[in-house]
Amino acid sequence: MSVVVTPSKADVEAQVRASVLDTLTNHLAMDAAAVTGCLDGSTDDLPIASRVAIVVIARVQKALGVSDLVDPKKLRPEQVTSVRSVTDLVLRTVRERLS
Amino acid sequence: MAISVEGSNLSEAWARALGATLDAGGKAVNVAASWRGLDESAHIREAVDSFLAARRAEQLEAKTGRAGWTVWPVETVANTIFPIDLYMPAKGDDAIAVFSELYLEGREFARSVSPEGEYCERLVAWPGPEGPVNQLEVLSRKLRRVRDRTDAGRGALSSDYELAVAHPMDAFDIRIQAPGHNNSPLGFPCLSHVSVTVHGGELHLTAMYRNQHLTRKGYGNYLGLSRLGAALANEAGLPLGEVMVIATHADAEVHSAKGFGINALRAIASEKTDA
Repeated sequence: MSVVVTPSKADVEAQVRASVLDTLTNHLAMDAAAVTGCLDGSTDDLPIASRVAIVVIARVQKALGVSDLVDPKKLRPEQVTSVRSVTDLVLRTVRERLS
Repeated sequence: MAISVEGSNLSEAWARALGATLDAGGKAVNVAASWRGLDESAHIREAVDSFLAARRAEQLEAKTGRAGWTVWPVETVANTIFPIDLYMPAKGDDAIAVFSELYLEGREFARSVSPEGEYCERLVAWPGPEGPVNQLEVLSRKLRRVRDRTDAGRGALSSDYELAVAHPMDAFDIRIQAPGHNNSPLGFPCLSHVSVTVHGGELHLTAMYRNQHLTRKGYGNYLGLSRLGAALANEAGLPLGEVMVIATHADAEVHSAKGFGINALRAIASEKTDA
């Protein structure tokens, strides 16, 4: 008998943060300590360009195995101007999807 | 009659091109604007940002603006040509390859916003008959050969660096260069062609628009092209020299359905003299 394990909300949120960190540091050359501090709230937020935010969202979606987490038609450049704002946007959407 | 303006930077060049087009009645043929390097004038940029932000807020409030006529911030328009934040010179000879990969990932996510295509997509994935052609990769390889040679900027090495934007299957424009084919096809995008020249120890860039909306997009066009030029200059190991943009038809959008108004446009065009 097979057992289906559904990932918890905390697991998915951790996966989102890990994907954001991986994209910004390994692919976009941002400082790992600074991004980590930004994500856990221990340091100031970091500004990012809207195209960087779009790549982050694309990579998070790929990591989660979904293609429609964020609707690009509803995304405005002024909504995603920092590491925390783009992460919060994705986490908010994930929470809505899982609730 | 052709109009030619120069600016000490891209902001001044744009303001002068807009002013000259307004003086010509709001529309003009063969408007050429040139400047050097990447610098901007902060007061002109602020005036443009404020103007566009106000128009964008009006549009969002009124829920007007059909597809293709939306007012976007300067940075968003510039990013359709070359999203500079995805270009990391520290990646060395892989910088353009990394840029292309990141850009296309983001483009795939946002495709529904502009399904007809994007200029940068034409640069890194031009839809050739045998599959996508990464013109930036081909061009940057050539430019790196310039960087690594001592006779760069002479003979054939001066002027063999073309980026085709128009697609031969699109309509109405005649263009010269097809990557890998060099035939004379037709094309539709407003930005039709980009040409790069290495001369005098600098890299120069010329772009041709068959139609340019100077108010909503002109400043962002100039900025995106300057950034593209700067990245290509980096590949060649040279400084960016002159950038020239030729609009075979330039439109100041005085009569735009969005009603920008000639007085508002005159005000931002006149920013050129108020340093």
